[in-house]
Amino acid sequence: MQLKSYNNLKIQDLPSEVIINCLSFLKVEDLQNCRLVSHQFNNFIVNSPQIMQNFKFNLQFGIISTMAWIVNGLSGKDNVIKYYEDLHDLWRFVRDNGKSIRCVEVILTKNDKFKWFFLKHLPNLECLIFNGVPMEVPGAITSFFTTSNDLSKLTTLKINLSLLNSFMSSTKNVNKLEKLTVYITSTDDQELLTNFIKQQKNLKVLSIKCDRNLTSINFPSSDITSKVKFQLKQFKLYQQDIRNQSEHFLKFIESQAGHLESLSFDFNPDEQLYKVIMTKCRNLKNLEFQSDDEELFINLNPNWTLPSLRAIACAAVNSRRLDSITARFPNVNKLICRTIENIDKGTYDKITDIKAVYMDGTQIDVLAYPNLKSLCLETFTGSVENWMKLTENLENLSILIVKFRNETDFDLKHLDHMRKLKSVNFKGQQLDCANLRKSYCYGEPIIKIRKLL
Amino acid sequence: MQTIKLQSSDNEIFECDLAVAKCSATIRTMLEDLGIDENSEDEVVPLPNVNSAILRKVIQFCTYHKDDPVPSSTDDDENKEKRTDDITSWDADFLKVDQGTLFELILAANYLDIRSLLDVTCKTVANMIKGKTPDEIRKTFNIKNDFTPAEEEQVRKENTWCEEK
Repeated sequence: MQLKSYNNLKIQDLPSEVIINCLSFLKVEDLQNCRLVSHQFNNFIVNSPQIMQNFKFNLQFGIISTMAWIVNGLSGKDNVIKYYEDLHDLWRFVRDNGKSIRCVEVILTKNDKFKWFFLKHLPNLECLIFNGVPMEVPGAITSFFTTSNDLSKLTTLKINLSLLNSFMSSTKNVNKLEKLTVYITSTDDQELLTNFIKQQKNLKVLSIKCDRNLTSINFPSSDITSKVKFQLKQFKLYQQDIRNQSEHFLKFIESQAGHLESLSFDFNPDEQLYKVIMTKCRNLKNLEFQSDDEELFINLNPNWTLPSLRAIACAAVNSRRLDSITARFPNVNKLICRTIENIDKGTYDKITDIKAVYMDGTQIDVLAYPNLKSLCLETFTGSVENWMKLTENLENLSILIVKFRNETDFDLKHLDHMRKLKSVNFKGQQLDCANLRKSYCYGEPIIKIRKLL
Repeated sequence: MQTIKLQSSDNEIFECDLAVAKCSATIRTMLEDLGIDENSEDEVVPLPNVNSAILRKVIQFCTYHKDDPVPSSTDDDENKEKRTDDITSWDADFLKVDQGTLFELILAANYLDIRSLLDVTCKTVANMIKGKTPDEIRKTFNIKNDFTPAEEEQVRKENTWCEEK
């Protein structure tokens, strides 16, 4: 008997415990796919102990319930990637091979209840990266690391600020960092960050990223400018919607101006900031910023230029902006942008490299960039037809990094016409990359397919 | 045989076997706690969350299953692997309904607390997900993809850890 439902319920209308009950019948592979369906589905899975149990059942200690590690540089090989399902195996591995481990990446999740960390077995660690959301229980965070670890060889650290306190109090000799990335998720502990940074004399690359929900940021703080001894080559500050730090930011940039080669921030520069960047950062090669105020940029003092600049990023590129960019920065050959709007005039033959976040293939006129060699599209949202139209004239393209939103429509044959392609990267998609190496050989070097993690 | 009257949200009265009605833990509790007299001819149990079409299906299900052995206690199957390929052919036929009806049956099973019906309907939903790509799942349930490319990338990245074994 067929029944017709008359109030058209959707799965989203069911109470969460019922949806979780449905999902709890699934195995890991299907759960992984469900995580990609929507935020709601992802949250059901990640936040449900009932489903997590399934993950454990199948994986013992899978990614969601615990940590995964990448271990690099083991026994002389460049890239040994190991994945552990069982924490005891992992622990034994670390204990036995700790001295040859150079790089560790940890993925933390909200469900992570483990309070220990085996830094003491890793005396030669050079790179330590924490990804993901750390535990929310403050008690757990302060006792995350085992005590007194000598990490004198550490040069790269990526850490969430909420872990930094515990990290600092349980490690010693971490003062030779060259590369530091910090995620700030709360207003607390920000002074700690300044103190930690002040100890670093070798720092070359500094990235500060703020959580969307953060209301204020104390970096760069007013006193940091005079106290640091490092000379930064790269500085990145992504502060989301916080807009009250440009004065200290300005002073900090000024103090580091001569050394900076790359500068990224996610807010609109004012005239003063433009002035500091364009008159003092003489060695700047890469510049990324928001540029909503087109008039301000176009009407800046025409003598402010940066001959050293090779790459520039701003929110959207159109003809008018592109004209003023190429006039002001004569040697720019790489554009990084959110979208490219219609280019209605001009030929930008110096541009060889474009990196864009979204593109559906209708906005870009490839004829405006006859020398394009590298194209990186965070997401290509358009149809196959748009794709073919976009790429038909890209004869010189050798590097292509693309992720197709409608991946099922695309096939390797849609790359066939780009004869000079040497490197293709599909960003972890399910296009059948394995066969590409065999079937696509253009006489020139075989296409290298790299699947990102 | 003792019977009982159930009233759907649209005020239709169903007379059914008391043993059948008692498949629902909610009705059992109602009878006990609210002191509804099982022997009274005129007593009607109101079920304001279930419409007549769904209630008819639920009664049909419970009538068929009323003599099933009671499943063992809940702690046992905590450790049991959950299967979805053990749906009987009668149940599978019974659940050949459109999605909206299936979800209404789930809601009714949840409200009436009929564990066997809840289980088999949830399994049916699980089977609709099994083996599908994220996009196919979205199409099946008409769900909008609300991930930004960066967020999607992050989840994919996390998923990758499970693939390498």
